[in-house]
Amino acid sequence: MPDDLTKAERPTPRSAFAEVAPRGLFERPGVVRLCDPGHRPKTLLRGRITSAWSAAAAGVLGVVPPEQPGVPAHSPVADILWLGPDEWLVLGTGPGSLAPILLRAGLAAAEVGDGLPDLELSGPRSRDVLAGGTALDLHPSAFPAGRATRTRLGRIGVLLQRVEDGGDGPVFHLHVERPWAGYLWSWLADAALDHPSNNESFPR
Amino acid sequence: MLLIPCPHCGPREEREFRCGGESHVARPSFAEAPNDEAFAEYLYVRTNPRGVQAERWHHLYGCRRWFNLLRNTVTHEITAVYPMGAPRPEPAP
Ligand SMILES: [Zn+2]
Repeated sequence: MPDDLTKAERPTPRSAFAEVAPRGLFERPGVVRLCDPGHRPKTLLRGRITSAWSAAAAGVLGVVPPEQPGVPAHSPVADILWLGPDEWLVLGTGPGSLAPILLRAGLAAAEVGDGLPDLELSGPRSRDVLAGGTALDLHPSAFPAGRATRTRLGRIGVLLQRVEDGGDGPVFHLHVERPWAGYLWSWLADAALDHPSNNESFPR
Repeated sequence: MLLIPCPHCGPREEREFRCGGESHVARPSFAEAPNDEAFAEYLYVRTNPRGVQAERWHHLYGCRRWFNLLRNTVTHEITAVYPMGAPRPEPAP
């Protein structure tokens, strides 16, 4: 292999949503807004919880990974989402991946950012649009801001994260395995059409 | 629609799960001489009760863990949830 190839910069990863959303944006005014936030590193962390394991993980991440589903753990370094009794998703707050640092600390970790893209769903009707595809109780009393869980939406599995309840409605992040990214975007954009937009006078 | 109590995630809707069939079906040992009859029974014969049945379920769209439960095949009532490998719980007296 020629030298210049090995020295070539890694090309910018192509967005998982490029096929269905070249602009990375979909908006139905008064209903929802879909946004492709672009690539960011994500780390899958596996392990059996012991006091030594928790201490090693906290040493890198600044906080002990949560033992219960639902409520993520936060630190200045990362947000840690519970996926299962021995599985977590680490969303680093910095630009780089935390996987190499976790590996050096003797923990089982893998960088999965390329394979697990996410999109942001926001807007006044974002909860209603999601409710059309999942049986999860999304009422703020059952699934308030700050919560995250894996569930089923339409015909696929997603990791659903309610990031905040802003003035313009709830903001969700949906993490999806890359092969289903196009399906997820299309499903949400299509579901948004079931709700009347600001710009429309009904009946159509 | 069933509401299934995942031991890790709590009650979740049936479509998040896959049913893995009857629990506690013992696999014939390879150490013994091959026994087609025993393997045929292991593969195909199920108790299929009208009433309480032990089943394996997989929380595929949630924590991705397997667990056992007792379900009444007539009423769908779920009366016990217990880990893989644990013995079938005794019915309440
Ligand atoms: Zn579960």
